[in-house]
Amino acid sequence: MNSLEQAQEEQLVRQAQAGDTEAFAALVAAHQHFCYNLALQSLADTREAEDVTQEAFLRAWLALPRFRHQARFRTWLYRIVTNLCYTHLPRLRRNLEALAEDELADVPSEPFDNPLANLQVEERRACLHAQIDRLPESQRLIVLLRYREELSYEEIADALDIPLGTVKIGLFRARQRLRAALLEFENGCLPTPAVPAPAGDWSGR
Amino acid sequence: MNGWDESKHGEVDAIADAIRTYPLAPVPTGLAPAIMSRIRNTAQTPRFELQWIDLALGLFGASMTGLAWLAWRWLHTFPDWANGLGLDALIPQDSLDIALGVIGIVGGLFALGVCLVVALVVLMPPRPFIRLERATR
Repeated sequence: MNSLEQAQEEQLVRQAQAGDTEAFAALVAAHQHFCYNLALQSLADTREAEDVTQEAFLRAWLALPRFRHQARFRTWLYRIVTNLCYTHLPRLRRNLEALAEDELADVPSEPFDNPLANLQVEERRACLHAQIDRLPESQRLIVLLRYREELSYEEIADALDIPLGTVKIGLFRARQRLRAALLEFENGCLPTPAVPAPAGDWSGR
Repeated sequence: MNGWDESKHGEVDAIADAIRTYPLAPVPTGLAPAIMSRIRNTAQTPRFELQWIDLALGLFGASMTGLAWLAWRWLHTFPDWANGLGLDALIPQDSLDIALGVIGIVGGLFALGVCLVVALVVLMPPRPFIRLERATR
């Protein structure tokens, strides 16, 4: 999660638009972590993710005079990262678009219950982190944008350049998988990870 | 669409918590300095970018070249044409007259060009100035 308040971020963006490289450096510092991870989740290659992140910030800098503040800066930035990832990995866009092939008719309207309220929180988290690692990258991207970056559905659709319905379906499918994993965990079918889920063993992926 | 709306359900559940705490990979050392180094290099190098003034000056230069060529042609055909109309007094009598005529035409075109450049500089919108200033910071 980046630490910039929206007003502070807007101010920095305006300063950067006026050519202030120090203001842009603050934006880089605030957003490099998630941008890098967005690229890494998409490409599963540390070297490529680093290249894409650098290129994305460079493009953002060059395009900054044309940024009109109609969207949040981070949404706009994530879209640049995503577009570069699509160029590096065309399969990613296809996978995201394929989410829309699911029917929404079976998306339940009842509240999502929490069957594991009594489990140890850390164990549960570790189990779920391991399951998040196993999600298809298209779903993992959507849930991270939704819950870690707290983007709205519309902002996710904008950042990933996919229809709103696809975002909803992707999010639902991801939650469905994680919920199934939780239930299996509750029933003892899934072992508790010995260590917390890795921050991604990215080197070997 | 049946309106599955997590905010309506006030859903702060185990899954959301797990996703929020999902550990992200650490940023490679030196990523931000590398980005800023590329950006500062870009900022210091003025980017080649055609603007409307470049097109206007190009068009002006091309039309002036064409006009000069036509004037040169006209200077050579004018005596025959004037003679046919009985306007002998207008015909240059010696090379000095022709040279003066050429100087007058070229000088006029040059003065016109200067006026155009001055007009462009005075009337130029402020934005290109800002961009040039930024590019050379």
